[in-house]
Amino acid sequence: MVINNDTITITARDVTGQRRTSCEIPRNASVNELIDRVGDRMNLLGEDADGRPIAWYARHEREGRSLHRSERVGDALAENDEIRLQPEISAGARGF
Amino acid sequence: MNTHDYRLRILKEGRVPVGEPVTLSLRGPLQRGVEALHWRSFINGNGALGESIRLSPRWSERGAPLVDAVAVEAGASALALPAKTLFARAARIETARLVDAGVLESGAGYGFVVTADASADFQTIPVFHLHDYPVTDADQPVGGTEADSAFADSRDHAVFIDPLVVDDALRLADEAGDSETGGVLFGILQRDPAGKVFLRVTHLCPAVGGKGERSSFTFTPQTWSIAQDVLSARAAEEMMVGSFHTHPDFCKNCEPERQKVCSMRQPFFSDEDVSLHESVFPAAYSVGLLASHDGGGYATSLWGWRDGFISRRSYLTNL
Repeated sequence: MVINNDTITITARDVTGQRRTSCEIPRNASVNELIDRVGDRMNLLGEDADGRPIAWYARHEREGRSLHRSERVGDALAENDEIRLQPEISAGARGF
Repeated sequence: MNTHDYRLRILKEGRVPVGEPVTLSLRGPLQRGVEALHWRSFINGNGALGESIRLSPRWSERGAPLVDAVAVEAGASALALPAKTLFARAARIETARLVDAGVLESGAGYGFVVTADASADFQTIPVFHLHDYPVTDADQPVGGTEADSAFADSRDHAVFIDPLVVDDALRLADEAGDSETGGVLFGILQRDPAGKVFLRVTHLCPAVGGKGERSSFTFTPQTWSIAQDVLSARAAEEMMVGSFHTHPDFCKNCEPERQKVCSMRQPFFSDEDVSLHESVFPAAYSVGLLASHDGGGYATSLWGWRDGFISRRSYLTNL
């Protein structure tokens, strides 16, 4: 088996765990890039009802903390780690 | 497989096109359609849909290239998603952009049409399959009293809400005063001895770390993390099956005559509410519980996916 030291394999889930994917991410990618790539792959909604971007965050399941967007994947995550993507999103009748 | 490019055109008075055509993304529609078909196949006891999924336009009575609906087909299953509903959000966003750009006047009524042209290249759109539905066996059919029976629809699966969940929803709404509040619903999917699949909502986990305002409630990453921790601690084989939020008395400061006719006094699922469900609870069995104030007090209503769109629906509980 060939091991690629430039990438890391992680598993990502959505909030409910219904959407799940595994993928290889470059170690030197930022968490922000990780969220973009995995979110696109999982078809996560990028905009809210008004067309404004939805902010997604990555929770490191093993450490139980939210990853900072500027962290490097290779520094923050280990091989086969799991992350959970969580949005900051509003319900209600905004504009009322 | 998608065979067409879809475009949106905003119309002003007299059905006059305004602005430039906007290319529409089909990823959302495809995801909604596939999930609806997948769920329909599951609850009817049929097999998996397979990978051969096709999107095609259903032409308007006025003829091509005007589109009335986008058809999602998988094997022998098909679902037509009405363009007027499917692309309403895109139209609203484009209209707002044209108003900001000074092309349209604010406050006037505008319409839109969707057109489709054959693609030069057939496109393969990535479909993200949700995981198989985790269902356990129930030893008896689901019971209870039907609430909101006026909103029953034969396409809906049965949903039983534990009466404690309804009580908690009403209590949390009262405690929040003039602000909105929210929570996460836990539950399980079950199949009764006759093979009928239903959802049992077993717990309302109050949202921690959310931001409640007069007309919105924001679910933050902390909200989801704590709900996940509570779910794990309960070790009850539950999963997150939906959201809860409140609409306080929006009309309390309005004139009494206006209150009588104001639509804000009726239960409704706003665009933001639909967007939340599309983002976080896309699974077809998911539901949204709403506690809304009608001037006299709070009452609950339930909303869920029906053929790819969020609709008000009936539910079962023990009164």
